[in-house]
Amino acid sequence: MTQGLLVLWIVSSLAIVFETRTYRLIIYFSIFSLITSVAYFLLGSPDVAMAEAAIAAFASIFFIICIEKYYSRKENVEKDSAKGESLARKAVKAVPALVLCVGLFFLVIYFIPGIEPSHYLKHLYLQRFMTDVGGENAVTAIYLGYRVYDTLFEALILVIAVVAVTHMSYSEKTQVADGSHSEIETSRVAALSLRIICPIIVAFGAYLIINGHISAGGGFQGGLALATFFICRYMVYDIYDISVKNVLQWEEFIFAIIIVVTAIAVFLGAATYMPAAIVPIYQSVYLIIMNLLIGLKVACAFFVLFYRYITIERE
Amino acid sequence: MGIENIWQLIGNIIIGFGVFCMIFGAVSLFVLKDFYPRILVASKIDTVGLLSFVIGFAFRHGLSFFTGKLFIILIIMLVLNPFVAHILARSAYRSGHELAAEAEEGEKS
Repeated sequence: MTQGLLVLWIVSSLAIVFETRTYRLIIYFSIFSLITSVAYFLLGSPDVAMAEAAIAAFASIFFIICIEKYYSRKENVEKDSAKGESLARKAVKAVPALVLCVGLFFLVIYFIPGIEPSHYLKHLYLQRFMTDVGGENAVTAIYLGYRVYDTLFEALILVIAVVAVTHMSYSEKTQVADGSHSEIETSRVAALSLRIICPIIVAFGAYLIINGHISAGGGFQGGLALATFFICRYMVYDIYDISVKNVLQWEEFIFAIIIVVTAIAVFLGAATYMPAAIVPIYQSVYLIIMNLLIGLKVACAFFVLFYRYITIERE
Repeated sequence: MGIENIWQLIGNIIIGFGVFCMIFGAVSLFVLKDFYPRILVASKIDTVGLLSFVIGFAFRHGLSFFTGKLFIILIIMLVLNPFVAHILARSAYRSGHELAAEAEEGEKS
């Protein structure tokens, strides 16, 4: 069953790569996401499957709206690039669509009703994560142990998003943090309440990061809590005195350190299947360092996003 | 009736008061038609309802580590809920949102 899905997966990804017409590309993309979500469901993780399906539904509608707007603005753009091709090429291009249609049809008719999701991987992880990666939180064990390369790419995506926002909203005026205040007068009630809350927020973020491998939490959540502190700081003092550029450089620097630490840990055997000879304290040190770095990086990223939007509003 | 039962009774009464506040707040959210009264009622649900729930649970449970956690939640909510309502009402006022009655008077005069 899963093998058949994976074959369809390969076919749809090949179709995405070789397709040149945008509308069909979007449809292939949503088919790809559908197959992905069914595969996630079969592997025993219905939450990820739901997220994938929702993102695919949203993204395909969004892409289609964008393309409609683009073509309505530029009417001279040639819509169909596949004119004047030979019949054989057209037939070859129709093959993946045909395979996908037939495959999805049989999938829906015969296999989807009454299928049992497999919990093999889940049980395997829950049995072995304490000896393999260490810590007591299985989520941390997965995202810093079994799936550490995925975590790297997730962090990279955040860096790319922040760089894109700062690049696209670039302006000469706001490059220097001159300590200027905005024209809106601050509310004293808000300032007083936030001064009471801020230490609790910082303590909570630090707790989430440092205790992330034992209880619920981790680098991403703790980093968000730390970034909330900077938003509160801005709301209290209403001052623009930290340069976005420097913080962005810090974020990239921390990301480089994360890559180096991951590489070292993988070579020493901490992140992958760890031999039993290595002491458990070593695993905990690895998890705490990674959580700390990821937390600082996420805090820097969201700080940059927040200050960037403030300065856009001021211009 | 033992002393523990009396604590349980006091806790139940306070939780009942919280339920009363929450139900009337939820009803009046639909009855009231304007923005500022709705903010008033919503902050009342959050503050009075939640506070009486937390205090009632603390009475029912007795003095322990759990009660300490409850009081941390209580202090945070005591600060945060009025703050949220204040920020909402303030930004609505600053951006020029008017009461429906006042807007009608302004049109007449």
